[in-house]
Amino acid sequence: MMLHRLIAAIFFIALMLVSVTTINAQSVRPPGNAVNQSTDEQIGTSNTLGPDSQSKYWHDLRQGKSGLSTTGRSGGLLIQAQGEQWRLIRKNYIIKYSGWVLAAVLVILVLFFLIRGKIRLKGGRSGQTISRFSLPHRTAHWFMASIFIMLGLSGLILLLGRTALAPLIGKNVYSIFASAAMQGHNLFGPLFIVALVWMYYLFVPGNFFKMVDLKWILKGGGLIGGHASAGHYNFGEKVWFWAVAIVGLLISITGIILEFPWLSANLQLLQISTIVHAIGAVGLIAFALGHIYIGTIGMEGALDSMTTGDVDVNWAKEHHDLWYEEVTGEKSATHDQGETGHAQVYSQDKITGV
Amino acid sequence: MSFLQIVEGPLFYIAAAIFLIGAIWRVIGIIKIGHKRDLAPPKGSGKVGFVAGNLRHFLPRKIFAKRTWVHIIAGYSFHFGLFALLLFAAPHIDFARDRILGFDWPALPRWGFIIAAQFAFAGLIMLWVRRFSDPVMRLISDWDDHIGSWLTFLVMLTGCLALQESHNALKAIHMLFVDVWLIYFPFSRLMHAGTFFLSRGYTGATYGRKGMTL
Amino acid sequence: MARMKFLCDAERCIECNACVTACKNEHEVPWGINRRRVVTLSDGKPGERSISVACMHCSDAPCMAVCPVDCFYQTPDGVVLHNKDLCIGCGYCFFACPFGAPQYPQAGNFGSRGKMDKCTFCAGGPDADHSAEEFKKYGRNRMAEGKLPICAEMCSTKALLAGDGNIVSNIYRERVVGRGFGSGAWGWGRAYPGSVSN
Repeated sequence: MMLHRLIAAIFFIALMLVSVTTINAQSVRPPGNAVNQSTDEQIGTSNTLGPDSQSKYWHDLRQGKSGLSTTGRSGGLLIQAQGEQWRLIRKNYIIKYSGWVLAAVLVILVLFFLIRGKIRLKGGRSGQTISRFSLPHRTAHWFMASIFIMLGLSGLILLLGRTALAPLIGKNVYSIFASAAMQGHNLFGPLFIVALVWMYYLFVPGNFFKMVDLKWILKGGGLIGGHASAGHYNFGEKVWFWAVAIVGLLISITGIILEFPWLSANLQLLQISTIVHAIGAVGLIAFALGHIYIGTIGMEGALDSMTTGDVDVNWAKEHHDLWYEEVTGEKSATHDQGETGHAQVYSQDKITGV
Repeated sequence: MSFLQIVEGPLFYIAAAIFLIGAIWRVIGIIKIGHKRDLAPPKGSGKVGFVAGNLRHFLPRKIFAKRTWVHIIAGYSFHFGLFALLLFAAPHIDFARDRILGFDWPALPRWGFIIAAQFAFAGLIMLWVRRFSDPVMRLISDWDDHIGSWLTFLVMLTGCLALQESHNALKAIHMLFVDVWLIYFPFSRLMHAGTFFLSRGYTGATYGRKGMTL
Repeated sequence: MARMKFLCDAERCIECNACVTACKNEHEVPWGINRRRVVTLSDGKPGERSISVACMHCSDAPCMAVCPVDCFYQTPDGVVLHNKDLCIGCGYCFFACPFGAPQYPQAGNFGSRGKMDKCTFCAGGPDADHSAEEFKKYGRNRMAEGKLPICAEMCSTKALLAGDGNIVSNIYRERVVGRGFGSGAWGWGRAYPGSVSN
């Protein structure tokens, strides 16, 4: 039995080998009318890089071509070329000019204060007040202000500290400031988004642009002299509101990208985010300096609206005449005849005697 | 001895002793006052009223909730955040194990700690803003309230600025504020943390004896 | 003084990753951090090449330029080192570095960056040479012992060269002449502008 099977197996294998070799011999032989298409013969060893030329191969790498790597977070990317651009933009533009912009704003404010002085109430204080901002409005405003100041200070320490602070206090002490600033900045960052949404929701009514704003611009907002009519918010306040809303949104989005670096493996996105974040933030801080100036030492009676929420009637008549008429139904003396601006009433305001 | 060693060593133990002795002395003082003898026959249990009064005050009253929802949310946000930070932050647990208790317990993960800190900060800032922007609150607030708020804020802020756990100076500043806070605590309204249950309980017990439902 | 440089001969690297392993072992680098990595190009295709890459210790180092706390310094040998006591883990050096050298442990808020770690050319850091502090933060200081980086020292094909830039480039030039071709001193154009073009 065993022997029969073995002989049969050997015979079968031999038959297979014969048939396979004959078939192969037939298929390998080119037909008689075949033409050899291959002309580029490999000469020597110079073209070991396959289809690409040497220079193209290494050029692509310098432009950021990726390979594979089993180790390291940077992965297969050998050279990221845009890092150099990022460095130049940050050093030569953002850090350089943001300091100058902020310094210029401060100088302008000081000069303005020296030349124009505090904008006083022409009629003095009447002793009667009118409700301007409700308690939720004030709470949201100061909540945002607290977060904004903490984020602004810590951000500026990180952005300008190496240039402005480190030479004064030394690298070691500055590193302590920077460490604290970065941890604080990352901690308060998400709260800015909460404050932004809350404030947007409360302050958006009455902040849409109207025809009266155009007249306000043409009269220079009454800063230079003369009177410019305004509703509950004047044009300057509306621009500030929308700057906070739109730039704040940009800062929030880029901030989230930067705070959670593992969300995106895209290095370019992170680089662009730092640039957008810094430009937007410096712009907002510059704007905020003006806002703080006009709200405190720049204008008599303005701060009341955010502390007690009630402003003097004369202040309302002089700075927001249309709003005053809307609320009280009476004509203010300062109101120019013939103007038909319409201000939106946003809450149930009433005159309260003090 | 470095500044850090002083503020987390001797000064901390002195501050903790003042805190403990002062707080216990004040609570005992309040308990010793007792309550006025109630001559009327009781219509209900004072003890049940004491407990009920304590529990009932954790929930907002319906008629006030609409007007005060901001500070209800801010208050809970702050206190829950604060206690999560105080009891479950990894560095705090290490400190308690190494310097006070000798044993430890599971800590919050770092992201949990950060979120708790954000709730605490949002709540505290909101409560403080309300303190000066609400006319009634401004009228009834004095320096003690503001110092208490600011000290607590500075303790939390310096702690969070030291989150990199890299510089001894930042840790020392945090510990310094902790020490100041501990010393200030028994002599101020921060003491409410140890006395609120007595005042709620007193009111609750009085109502309980009169047979009122809270 | 010598100007220390790395050079990886792409015609010789066989992607054994021994440089990565040796580096990790020598410096006892923590989990998840590799100071050196091997990148394979055109994997499995004609023209496959592998390159071992770490910090190239650039002449005009971008990391040094952008660091907000100015924690980098360059030794007289041209080695770029950093001070971990100053580092705040912001990640800007990683944004600027062309070679992806800076690495970070996940130690910050929400898993953000801890203090940066990178190749030191086996030259330690600002702490005292051979101190326990220095070893913990930066790894072994072979340069202070008169030795060159471990990755290049033990490279089996001598693809990775480390040492004085002139000697390294002479060795490489001899190789290129000998075999009749070369892939250029990879990365030198960016790291050491003006010395050798690719």
